[in-house]
Amino acid sequence: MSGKNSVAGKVGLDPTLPDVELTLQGKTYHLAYDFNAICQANNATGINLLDSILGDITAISLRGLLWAALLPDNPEMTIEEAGKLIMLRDIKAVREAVVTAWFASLPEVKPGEAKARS
Amino acid sequence: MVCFAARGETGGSQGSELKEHPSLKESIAPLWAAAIYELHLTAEAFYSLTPSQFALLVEAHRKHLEHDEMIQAYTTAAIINYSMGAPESPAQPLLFMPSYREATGTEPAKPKMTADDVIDWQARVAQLAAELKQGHGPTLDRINANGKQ
Repeated sequence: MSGKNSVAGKVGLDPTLPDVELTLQGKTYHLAYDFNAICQANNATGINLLDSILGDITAISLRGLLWAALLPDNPEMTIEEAGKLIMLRDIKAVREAVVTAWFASLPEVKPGEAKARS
Repeated sequence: MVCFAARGETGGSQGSELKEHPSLKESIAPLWAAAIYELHLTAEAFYSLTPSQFALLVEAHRKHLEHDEMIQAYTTAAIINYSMGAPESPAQPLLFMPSYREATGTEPAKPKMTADDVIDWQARVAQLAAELKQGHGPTLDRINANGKQ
């Protein structure tokens, strides 16, 4: 069913997916976290994104989180390739993009629900 | 699997850490089960969804259940309200829509019995029991008369 012009599952085109762009080394990447990426992030960094993303993000965990967020759009990318994309000057942008992509991948919490869960 | 909060920590009770911070398996297992069992997704389809997309599907599924429930609730209420033993105040379909009530937090108004109502009801039951024992009485006659009609 997924033809040439299909938007289904394509990060940046599919309106149900987060639209978070990150330009690294002249190339623009689209970031999103699906459940597959969440599991890969957990394996690579030990971070359970379904529990919390808050806390200190180390260089290793940032690489793992970026790699996982890149996977939906770049399924063939390895964690080493993701690591090579991160330059020292880009760390702040990568961190912000990763956090933004994560929260954009979460369902919107209605005010009443937030109160009920807390 | 290592929890985020426990990262970098050595020793300590992993059990207590897990209690505060569930592992990914604990977090994802109920979602996976709902995806496979309720939404009839394949595991592959589930893992390719973002949590946001999954929530949209769950919401759509909930609305579908509510719609099914609504059809059955209207039928049930109609059967009750047009039956030979129809209640004085008609049964509302909302009574038979638990998913809708749960989602909206609306509970149908229940008829409230006062203390006098309870005493009156108990007295009538006692009266009927006594008449049944004797084999005759005004309440029993009324019931018999209704049965003959």
